[in-house]
Amino acid sequence: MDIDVELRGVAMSYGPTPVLHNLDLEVYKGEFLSLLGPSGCGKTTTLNIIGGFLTPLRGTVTLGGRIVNDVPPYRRNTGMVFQSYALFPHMSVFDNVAFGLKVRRVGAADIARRVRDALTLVQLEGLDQRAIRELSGGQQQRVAIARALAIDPLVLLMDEPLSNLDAQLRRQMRVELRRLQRQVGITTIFVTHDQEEALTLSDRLVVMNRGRIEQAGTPIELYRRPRTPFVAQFLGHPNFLFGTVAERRGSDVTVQVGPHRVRATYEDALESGAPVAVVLRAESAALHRTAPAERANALPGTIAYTVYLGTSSEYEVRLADGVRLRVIEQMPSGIPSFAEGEAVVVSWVPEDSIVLPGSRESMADLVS
Amino acid sequence: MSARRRLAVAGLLAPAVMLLLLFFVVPSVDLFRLSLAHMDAQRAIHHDVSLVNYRNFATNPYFHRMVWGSVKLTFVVTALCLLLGYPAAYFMVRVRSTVARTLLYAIVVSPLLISVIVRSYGWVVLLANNGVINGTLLSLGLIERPLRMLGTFGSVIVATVHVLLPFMMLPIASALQSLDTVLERAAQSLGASPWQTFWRVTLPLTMPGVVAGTSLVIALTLGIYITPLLVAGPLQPLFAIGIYYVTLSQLDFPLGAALSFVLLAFTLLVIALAGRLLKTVKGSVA
Repeated sequence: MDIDVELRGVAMSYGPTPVLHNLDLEVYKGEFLSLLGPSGCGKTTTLNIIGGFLTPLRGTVTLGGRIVNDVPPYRRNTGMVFQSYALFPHMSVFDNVAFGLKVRRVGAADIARRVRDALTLVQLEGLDQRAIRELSGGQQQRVAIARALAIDPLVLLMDEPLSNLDAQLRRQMRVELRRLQRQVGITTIFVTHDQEEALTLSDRLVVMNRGRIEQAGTPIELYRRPRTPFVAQFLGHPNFLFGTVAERRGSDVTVQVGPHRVRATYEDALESGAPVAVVLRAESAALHRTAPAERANALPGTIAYTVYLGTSSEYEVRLADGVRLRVIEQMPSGIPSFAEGEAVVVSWVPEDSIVLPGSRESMADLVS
Repeated sequence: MSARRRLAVAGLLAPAVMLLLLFFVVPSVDLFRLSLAHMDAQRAIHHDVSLVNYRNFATNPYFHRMVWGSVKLTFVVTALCLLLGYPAAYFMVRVRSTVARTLLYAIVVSPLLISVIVRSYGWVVLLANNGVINGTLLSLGLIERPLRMLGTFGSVIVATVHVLLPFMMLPIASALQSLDTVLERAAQSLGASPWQTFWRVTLPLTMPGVVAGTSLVIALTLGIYITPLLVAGPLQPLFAIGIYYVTLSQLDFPLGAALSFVLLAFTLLVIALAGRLLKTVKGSVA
């Protein structure tokens, strides 16, 4: 597969504060890649380095096979969509979208055609003479995307473009953005701190933390098989159970968690007696009134409290040894199956246990 | 609007309106009445209503030279203030270090804290035949006799630009301050060079500051008289110096009053034209 964007050993700091440590990243032609992480993780810095607005201290940036470290932003041919849209307030919709073509001295007829195409793509036909302030937030968002696409860039860079929209519009734009990106087939790098956004939009996502890449992979890979406690903690609603490896047979692992034996699967090497965390997602666990025969892991406890969310309910289950587990029950009917104080059994299959080597102390800053 | 609210608005407006009415409108009306009087050869003032002073202005070549001098000065000074002031204001606003920015603001504002007479005398000290510049050039052997600088139109330009530069820079700096720099990054991401970014984004969006600064400098240059008087003497053909001369040397108060009204009308006209011109040059202003 062709690589459109490549970072090799990129390091960056703001004054004495390092923000990126030896970052390696490649983005394939036509893929939708998300940089996901909490604020301050270096994701926007990475985007600005690709766009040419920041010069890395070390490392190389390659765009379309060309090293661009010394190429200024206006010669990189990257289309950027900003969080605040950054539309030019003194220009009409047409002039905003035409801007990149005018500065390239494209002919007037060509400009008119390409602006029309771009506006059609984002479903804003007929609004070309409007002033920017007359548009809604969602429409401004579309103009910003059309403006970036009109220059036919090598790569589309998007910096939290949906975070200024209200929740409903954000979901709608998410679907639309995905359709648009598929239709145009443009390589896209999307920066976000919203895990749901990253999971729904991306072909591949890169989780960043403190200037490093924690893990890169498809949404399913990252969700199902996080390789670091940070990724496990960042995606979904995890429970951390700390224990030691009691038994290993092939990929089947049994972990001693306090008085409980928890079964899991793990492919890599693991010493017997090694400290591990078993991560169980609140979404992967099920609740029962009596222990089910077919599910391998079953821990008895009582429901400490419930949170009703309409289509789902969140329960906190307290086990006999004081360990608390969060469980989410999907409720098509909208009626919760359990009430506070009820005795239940929490169960899950070994494949849903995520094993992460390491002690409780080593993950103390992630697990409250 | 409720009665209480209306009362509050009136209460807030009243002091300023009263002040303007008492000390600007009333004297202006009085001055205008005076401009319609005239002084005879025996220096007696007749309070009849005639346009004799305005006719005098329209037909006397001395006054025409004076108007032309002021127009020339205003054009050159305003152009220089804009050319010097915009880049300086840009740098002042964009400099990273807060210390440097504060220092630059202080430097720009500092001339306003010193009396205009002291500032203008500073230029006399610098530009005189036995002044600092000539002294330095002579002692370095670069010239054999002092250059005549004081009293020239050039010296008026330099001194006036120095006095008025802050009035150009501060409104432009304020406009630049409120410009979101993400717009400039957006322009560059779309392929605009720094120069194209400036012409198509930065300048049009800071045009309100440019118009404000230009209007201020035009109005102040047309009416300036202490600075040119000190560096170039009372014979320099400038509108305000002419008014000064007619009023205080010839004691022809009615003519002085008429000239003042011509200057006021002229100033308003030039500012209106400049505003119109700047708007058409750079398209619509946000």
